[in-house]
Amino acid sequence: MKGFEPKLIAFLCNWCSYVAADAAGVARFVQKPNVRVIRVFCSGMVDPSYVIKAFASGADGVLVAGCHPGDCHYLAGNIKALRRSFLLRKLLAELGVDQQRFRLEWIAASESPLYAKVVNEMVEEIRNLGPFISKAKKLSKGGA
Amino acid sequence: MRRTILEPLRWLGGFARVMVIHEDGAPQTLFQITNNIHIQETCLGRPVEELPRILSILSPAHHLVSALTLDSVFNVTPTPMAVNIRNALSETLFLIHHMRKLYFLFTSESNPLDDFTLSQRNTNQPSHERELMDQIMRHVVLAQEASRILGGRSDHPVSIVPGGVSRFLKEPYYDRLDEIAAKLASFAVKIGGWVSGNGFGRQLQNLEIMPINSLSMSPHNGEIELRDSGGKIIDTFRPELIFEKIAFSVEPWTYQPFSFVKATGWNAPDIDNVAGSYFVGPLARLRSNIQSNTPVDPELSVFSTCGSTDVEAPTISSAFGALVAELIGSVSRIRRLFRRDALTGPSIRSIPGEMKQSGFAAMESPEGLIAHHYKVDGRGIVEEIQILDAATQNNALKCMIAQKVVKESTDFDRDPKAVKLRIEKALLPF
Amino acid sequence: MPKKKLAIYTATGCPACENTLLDINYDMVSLTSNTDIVFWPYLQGSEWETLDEYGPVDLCILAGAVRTEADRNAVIRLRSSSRLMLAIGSCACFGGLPALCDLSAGMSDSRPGDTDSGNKYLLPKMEPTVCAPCQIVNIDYFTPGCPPTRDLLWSAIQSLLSLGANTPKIAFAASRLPQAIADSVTAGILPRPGSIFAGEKAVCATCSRTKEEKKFDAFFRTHQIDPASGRCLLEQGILCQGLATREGCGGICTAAGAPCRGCFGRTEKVFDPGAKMVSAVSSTFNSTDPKELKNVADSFVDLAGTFYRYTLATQCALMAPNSEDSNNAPDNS
Repeated sequence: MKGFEPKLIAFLCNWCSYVAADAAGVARFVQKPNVRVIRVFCSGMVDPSYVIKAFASGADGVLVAGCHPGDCHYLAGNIKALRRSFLLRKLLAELGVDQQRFRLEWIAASESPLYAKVVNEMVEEIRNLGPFISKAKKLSKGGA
Repeated sequence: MRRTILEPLRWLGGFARVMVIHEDGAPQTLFQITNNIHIQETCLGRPVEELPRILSILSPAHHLVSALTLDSVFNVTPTPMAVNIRNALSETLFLIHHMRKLYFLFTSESNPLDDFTLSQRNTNQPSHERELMDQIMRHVVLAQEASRILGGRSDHPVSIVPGGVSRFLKEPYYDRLDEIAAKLASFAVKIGGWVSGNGFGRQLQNLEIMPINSLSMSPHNGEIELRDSGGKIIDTFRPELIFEKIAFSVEPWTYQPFSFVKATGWNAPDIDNVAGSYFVGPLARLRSNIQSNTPVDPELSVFSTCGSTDVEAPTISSAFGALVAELIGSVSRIRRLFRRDALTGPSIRSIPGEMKQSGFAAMESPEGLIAHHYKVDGRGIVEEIQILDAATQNNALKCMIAQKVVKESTDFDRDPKAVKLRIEKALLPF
Repeated sequence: MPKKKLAIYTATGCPACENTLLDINYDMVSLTSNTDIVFWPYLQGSEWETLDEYGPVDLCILAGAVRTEADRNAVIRLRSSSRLMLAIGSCACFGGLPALCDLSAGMSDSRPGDTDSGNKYLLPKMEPTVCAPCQIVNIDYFTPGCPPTRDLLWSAIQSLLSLGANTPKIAFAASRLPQAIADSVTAGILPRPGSIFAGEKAVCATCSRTKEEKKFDAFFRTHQIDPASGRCLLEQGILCQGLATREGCGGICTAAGAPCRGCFGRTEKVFDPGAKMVSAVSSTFNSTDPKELKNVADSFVDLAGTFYRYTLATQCALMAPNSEDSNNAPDNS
């Protein structure tokens, strides 16, 4: 698809990944401009419904990023995010969301190059996949 | 080309109508199903153990046959107590189904929900008859209470699981079931007496049913019997072979396929050529019951008094007679089944240890013979599914009955609504 | 006082909802004591012209989902001739079981309804996806359930028909309804549009099983274990959707030993039943090791077909085609 610019929603942990994203900007790493960042207090508060709502509202990809295991500001919030991610991926796949469109990453405050890399990778992968179209929309188009 | 559409047809779950097309030559009458819920597609990809709850959308009996199919998929034998609970539920479903049909028949010429004062009531309809009708539905409600006790829910039961049932009955329910069985028994006697006293009266039509083959499951050995209109056996086979013996044909004018016996071949429903078609249901079972070597059931005496005694030329009235006969038979069976000693036991279910690649089951449901066949992958996800329901099997018969009613109606152009009424009543017992 | 006029119709579904209506007429107080049922094709063979003849009806009880063009037209026509519309059953409220076929669409070759030959025979066209009536027209009230329980259905119908007139009936109905609706009807005004005649909390609130600690190590499918009676099914490792589902049924399925499959739809607080269940089930996993977690997650099958069993068309955020701009799917008002 030509001219398609993926929309990526990034839920970033206030204590690490958000700092990394900030630092990546300050350090002028080359980053794709397709990301809309939502700062959250912990990756553990990103309920599966946030991710699903993001896709339902037109996101082409969702990134959830938090502190490395063991580093959570709230002890184990990131582990909660990890636990949920497996079933969530499965549910998303069943509803026609490609695996590459959802990622859970650990990005520490000091890892701004990693942040830029993850974002760039995701944007390119999703660019290749094309926009996210829900199963129902596909059916409606095919039938009409 | 001119089309006359008779719709909606009463009492048929799903969308059904009769279309008469007048082109050159004789008019063409079609019994159309105008809707399709794609039940097979709905089941693909589902875990196989969920199917009993999904397929009950077809009819409550499909919950049972689906669980039987799971017994076969998981290669498990249900416990004796569970078998009794299943059978009790099955009989209850027969009662509910057959009583509703009789209620529909008796109220077919009036509006059953009219709340006229007595003096305003349809004078053709004696008030004791009206009272009996209301009684029928009050007993349906009782039978439903029984089916809720046995099946968890009434219209879409949930309690039958592979290897048995999902729970023991609670203590107070035993006495309640006994009470319900006694009440239903005395009421069935009342209906029987009323019917043999020719209470059917003017509600019945002596429209002769075309000489069409029938399919039913033998109550003696569980084999499937294909009989001709005289009751002679054409073929018998193990139920497992049913999907090899039966094929489906899709006509362009209806959403419901027609099933037919492969060996006899398919031709579109035509009253002058019934060769490929067959039907299932109470009348088919009665035909096989009369012809079998075992002594004729006492309940058949009811049949002989309502409508034709001649099994070789059954009429629509005979089909209603079959409903009454089965109703009385079911009641005598629930008296035996709704008992504490039958519904108690050490274990409600056997837990399956293995899983096969496929499973099959067939049973007689209130509507007629039904069968399921599932193929599953290694994780028990449904990959392929075949369903034989009574509606598909009676589709051809219903179409031919509509054709016959239209053909024999001299008032079609003048009063299509009267023809519609006759078609509805003729289709009701199937 | 003139009798109220009632219309009853089922689009795509099964006869269970209409049979429930017929049964409550005999099981409870007759539906027709202060009402004339002027349009009921299933029982009375009513033709569409009847609706025009009687003018707008006071209440239309609608069951069934929208599968064909004929369903769509029927729903629109009923809306234009009814003052109030009550959707009953999971099909009419949420799209119901028939919508599940959209999940596996494409797995079989073609749909029988897609042929063009229907023209001569006037077969109604299939809609591209199954949807709920509330995605086409405005629906005033909802009574979910597959089929709805008699008590709730009776209370809903009586409170809408006897409003401001029959005090004993209203009082009786109100005693079975959630507080907010009961307050309205006893005060003699209609409940808030979009109200759901069912409970407000989750099924767990009325389920008779005891909940202790929601942690389990292994997940079982319903055929694999015989769950202990009296103990929460989810805690025993069986997927049960009670905690994401609106109560009102009284926990009849869990009481019968069968897990909840969500026929009353999600509760007010839940955004998407699938997301809620993913979150709830995942939180019961003990492990912190990604490999182990992946193995546990892999033992689950068909999440979508289970979590959205009755609600795929309207409450699954990723399937509902117009989730953002639908007229008034339940809870969104």
